[in-house]
Amino acid sequence: MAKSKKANTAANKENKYQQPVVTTESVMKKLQSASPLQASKVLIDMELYDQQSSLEVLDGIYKDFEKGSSVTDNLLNPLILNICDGLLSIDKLGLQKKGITASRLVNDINTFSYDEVSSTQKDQRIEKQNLNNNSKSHLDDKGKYVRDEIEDSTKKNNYTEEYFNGNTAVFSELEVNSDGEKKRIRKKGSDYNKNLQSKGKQTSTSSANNDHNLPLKMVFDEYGTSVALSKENLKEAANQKANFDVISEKINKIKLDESWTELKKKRDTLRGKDKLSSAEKKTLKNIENNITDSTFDNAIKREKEATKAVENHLNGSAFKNLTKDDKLIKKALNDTSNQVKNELKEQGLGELILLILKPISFEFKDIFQNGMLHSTGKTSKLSALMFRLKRATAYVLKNITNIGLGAIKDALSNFVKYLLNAIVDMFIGILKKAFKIIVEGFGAIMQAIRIMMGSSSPAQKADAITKLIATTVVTYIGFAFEETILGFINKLPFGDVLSQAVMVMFTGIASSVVVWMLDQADLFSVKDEMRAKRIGEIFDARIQQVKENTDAFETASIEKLAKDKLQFRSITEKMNNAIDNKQNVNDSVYDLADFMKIDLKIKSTDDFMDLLAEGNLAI
Amino acid sequence: MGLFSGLKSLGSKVWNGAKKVAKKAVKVVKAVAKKVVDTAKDAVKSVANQIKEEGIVNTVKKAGAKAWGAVTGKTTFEKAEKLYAEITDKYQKAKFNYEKAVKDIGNDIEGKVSKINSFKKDIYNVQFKRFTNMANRLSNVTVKGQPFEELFDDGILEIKKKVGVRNKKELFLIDFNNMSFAAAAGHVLTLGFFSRKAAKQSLLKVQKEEKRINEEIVNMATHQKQLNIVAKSIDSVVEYFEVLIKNYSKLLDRFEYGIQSQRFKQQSISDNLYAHKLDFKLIPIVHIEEFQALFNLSIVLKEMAILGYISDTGEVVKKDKKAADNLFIKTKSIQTLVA
Repeated sequence: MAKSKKANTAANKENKYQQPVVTTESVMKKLQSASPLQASKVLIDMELYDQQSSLEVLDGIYKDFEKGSSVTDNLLNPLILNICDGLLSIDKLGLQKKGITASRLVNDINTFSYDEVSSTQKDQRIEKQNLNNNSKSHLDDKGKYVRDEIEDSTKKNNYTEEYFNGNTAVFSELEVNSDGEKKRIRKKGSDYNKNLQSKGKQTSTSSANNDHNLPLKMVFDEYGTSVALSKENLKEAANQKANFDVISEKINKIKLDESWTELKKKRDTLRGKDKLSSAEKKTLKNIENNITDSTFDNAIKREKEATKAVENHLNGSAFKNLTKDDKLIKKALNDTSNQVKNELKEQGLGELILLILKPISFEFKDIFQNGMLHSTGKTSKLSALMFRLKRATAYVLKNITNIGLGAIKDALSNFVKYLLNAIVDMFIGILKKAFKIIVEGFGAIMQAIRIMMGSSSPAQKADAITKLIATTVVTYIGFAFEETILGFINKLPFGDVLSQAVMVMFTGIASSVVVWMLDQADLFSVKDEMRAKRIGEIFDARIQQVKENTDAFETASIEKLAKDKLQFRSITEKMNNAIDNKQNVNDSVYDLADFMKIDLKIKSTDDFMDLLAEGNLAI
Repeated sequence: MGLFSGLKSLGSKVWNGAKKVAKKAVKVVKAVAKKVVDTAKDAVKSVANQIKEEGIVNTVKKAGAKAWGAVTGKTTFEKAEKLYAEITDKYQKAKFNYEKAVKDIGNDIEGKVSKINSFKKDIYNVQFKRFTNMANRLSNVTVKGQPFEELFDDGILEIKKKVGVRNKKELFLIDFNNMSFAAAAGHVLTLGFFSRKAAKQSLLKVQKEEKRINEEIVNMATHQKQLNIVAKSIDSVVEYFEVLIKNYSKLLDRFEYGIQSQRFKQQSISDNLYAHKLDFKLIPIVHIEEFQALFNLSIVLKEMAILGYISDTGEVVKKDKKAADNLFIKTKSIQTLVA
């Protein structure tokens, strides 16, 4: 419905600015229907161009443009469609995998025209989701965490020995008491501790432990997901000097498998809580009594150094493994091809569904709106229906290759993207994050290149790329805050059902708003450029029509004037001859009256005799 | 299911093909990359040569001015100014030629209308008088009404809705020629974002103005052609009057001769030497036919004499003020006539 309405309004707009059409036939007809005596008036009255001033036309086009950019069309409709997109994504219809969203469905069907070539389209959010899924598939499963497999006791003990360096007592590497003094600790089996034990006193505050600053379990869980790293690599990285801290047994037991940052966060959370359980009270007291702020500061500073050292070591190992062992690359290639193959199948099917849906819904719409026979050129309903079916089938067959090629092109681009992603996922830490940004932006970069190669104007290209960057950024920001947003949504009633839809709606709506705002700002005067183009087209068409009108007018009127002149001369010559040769002149007079379209009441000499008999001749 | 499995196998076939294509693509990319590097090298070389030839100061100056123009949009503004000057000049020339042509055609038409007016008067004052004088010997003949004297107003020949090129102020959103230091500094600080946009919009406005002006110029040319044809058609009307009045007059001569001879004939056989009217029943048919032709031709000439040829503006020639009731003045709106 909407499309046809739009088409009608577009046609009206066209007519509004169209010049009157003058043909040689129409000029001839007008001249022939009037007396040759009236030719000048007819010629003066003939409208070869409309009476709108060119400024009025210009103002009209401006107004039409403003009407076209209504908030409803450009903002409200996309927002509603975004909500539909969200709702559609709830049901496990598999529509998303196929690249079909409500926005695309409605948009494709509404703007469908048989003249346009069907092409595949990309959806930022689905792209990002696929990439996330791709990353998930790269996670390596190294089995259950077994401390002994990751811990290197020899290195650990060596480090402790080195640190004590033959002394009986040393300062803890991290601990500082409330007076700002460093804590002294001794080996667990030292005389000092034995003495305390014999007196029944606790030795945990005075006994030294060697702690892995980044806990072994954390290293295993977090970095162990890289396929390029073995348990041995993890062991080497985690048991470096940079990751060892000689501290008191007391705080080592408080810390356990947590990192210092996590422990501090735990303390702060407990401090901020209104009501604490007795266990929580005990934990908080334990932390506060034994770990001062200065200790935390030292520990977290050391944690940063340890992280850097461990990550560098692991990235080095990953690079070494990757270059040494081509099995890894082969596996990545294989996995990537499998994913791309699956996506190609899903998306190819999706595109095929859309390709068939578009012409069929167009035909239905057209039948309901304009009737079965409209624009088919057929006279019977059955033949019109057959014509419509054939037309739709022909469209599908013609475009199926395009869709196939489009899907393959997309698949190739995805292949490169996923392969890069698989390799990036083998690395860890900041390096991985930096690589990720590039890979994640790969789709956008490819699209940007495609825009740059296109035939639109530089401003249109700049505008398209700005919008592309903006929507990409918005999508990624949405994903970055996914946990926060979903955490909030899950607390709401039906939150678990809604949570799936909410992310889709959120990123979609945010993108629409950003694009709308960019449209309003029109940074590169694209709207102005389009308006100027439209104005150019309208005026060119108007000028062309006036030229054609002028040609038709000249041709027809010159021909008619010449014919009239000839006819008049032939009549009056005959008349002149009759006068000179004393012949009856009446025939020529009647010919002349006919020529001039003057109706003479006296048709014959008998009529005239009757008139004479009446005795009153009025002219 | 059939469709789905079909698609699956299609997908795997396509995939195998795609792998081959990818391998080829890598080769192509390598070749392209080499070419890009070579081209870049050439470009750098040519720039280096240019610098050597022109001297560093000049090159820097030139490059600076070019960069300033590009960043602030001054280049675009200058383009807009140039185009504005071009279209103003083009329009002025077209307007001058058009107005001159319209004036000439107007004078020509005016001369012909006044000639027609004198023909009209001649028809009533000379030809019809002669005819009625002669005809009244046979029957009572009266001519009703008066000729219509057309008033020529050259206003009807002009296009009224001409706008012309609008003032520069209406089209330009920025003026680099009269820019204060503060404004210039502002544009530099904002990286020329606003000035570039204003310059581009100005250029687009002038481009739109060019299209609009083109239409006005084409309309003027069309109107000129239309008026030329109108002038030709008026020529024909003048010829109609000339030829017909001549023929009418000659026919009157023939009729007069016939009537005179019949008068002598009827007088010689009549007792009443001073009989006022001739008996038409006694007149040979050839004279009756002449009378009939003159009568009908008079109707044609009368029709011609009471018509307006360019417009309906004018007045019926009246002999006394009592005839004011019959006054026929019809002023038609000039705009609709030009339409």
